[in-house]
Amino acid sequence: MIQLDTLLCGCEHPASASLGDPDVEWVLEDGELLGDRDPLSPSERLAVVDQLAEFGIETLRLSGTAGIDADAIDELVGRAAEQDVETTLRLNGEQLDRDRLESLADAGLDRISVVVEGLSTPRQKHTASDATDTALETLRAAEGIDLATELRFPLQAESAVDMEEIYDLAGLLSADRFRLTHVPDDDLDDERRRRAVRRLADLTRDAHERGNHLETFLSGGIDAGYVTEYTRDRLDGECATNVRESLRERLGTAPSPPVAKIGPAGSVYPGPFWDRYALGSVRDRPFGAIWTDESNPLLERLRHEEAALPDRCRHCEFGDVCSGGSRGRALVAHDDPFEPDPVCYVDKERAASGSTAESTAD
Amino acid sequence: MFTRETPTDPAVHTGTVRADDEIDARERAASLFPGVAARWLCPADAIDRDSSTPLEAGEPA
Repeated sequence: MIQLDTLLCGCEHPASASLGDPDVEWVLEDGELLGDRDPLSPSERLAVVDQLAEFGIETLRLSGTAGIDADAIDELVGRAAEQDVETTLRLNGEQLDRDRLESLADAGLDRISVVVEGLSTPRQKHTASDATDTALETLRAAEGIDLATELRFPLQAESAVDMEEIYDLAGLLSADRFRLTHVPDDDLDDERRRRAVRRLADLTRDAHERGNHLETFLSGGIDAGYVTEYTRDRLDGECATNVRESLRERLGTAPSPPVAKIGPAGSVYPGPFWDRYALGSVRDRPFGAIWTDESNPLLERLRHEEAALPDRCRHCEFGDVCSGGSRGRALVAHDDPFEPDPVCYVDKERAASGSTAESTAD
Repeated sequence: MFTRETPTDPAVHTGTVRADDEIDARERAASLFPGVAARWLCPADAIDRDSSTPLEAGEPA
């Protein structure tokens, strides 16, 4: 995760909060992930929160909550808040009204996150435009409530042109954070991804100059290479050097793997895209024991950045700031987690040829 | 899934693969654990879980 506004506008990066503890994504309801197992009961879920807190998890993201009883969600959030676990509720199309948001804030929820995949146009399906409307209505309802808000925008070929307008909407609706995420999309080539991130970086700097301090986040570390290139091309030499140094430091302190995922039946996955491989279940062993298990050779390799690096990344100019992106996305795309991340969008030829030359930012 | 890293190591539980059928499961296990001495796969519904430590919430720390 890269915070673009702090990085580009202050030419610095906030100190990494922790070394070694991943963020946790917990999907409470998902039929495919659940399979024929029993979902965790409300009591078991509370026990899982205790396991996470005991291990030292500081950031928890809940999703798949649409079908879960509201009181059970409030109890879960409250349990996390009691143990200083920062909790975000990620919505995927469901709308929450003001009363529900107030109840969540009272329970101790820190942030609500909505997804906007594109704007309503005649070309889009009604379901897509409805989902956008519900997301924006939820943001509107959250205004004035003591709850941080985030708008997630997954970059896709069909909606890439909407990004600027959606970024403006986030600001107009007083969202605290705009987060761009990358999803594999064969119709979105590297140049279009670079153009989108370049535009987002420009928008972020313009907004900052106008005194609008909407946080801009890039999900994951796959953007570090291009952000380095952007700063080298567009910012002054000292700032570009500072940014690269900050990104290096980010990489050095980032946990590996960076995100743990928990499924509805308590299975623990080594990341968000690992739905077909689980390390173990919190019903059998505490989360911490699963996550720190040294007898699993796959987890050991994922844990050691150098061993997990795809061959192409070993020769990349940006190897000092990027650990090769998502191993889970690589697994989905290539059936091999140690192949390159399919959404890597640096200019591969240029990055490979620049690996032996000293960067101007160094 | 259980794997044995070298011929003299004990087999250890190294996770669960979700697959469409037995062949798919074998292929997925092989792609995730290519270098081990042995991989054992057992259908999840053939495992009887009899734990003496059920997952229960106590008082938060």
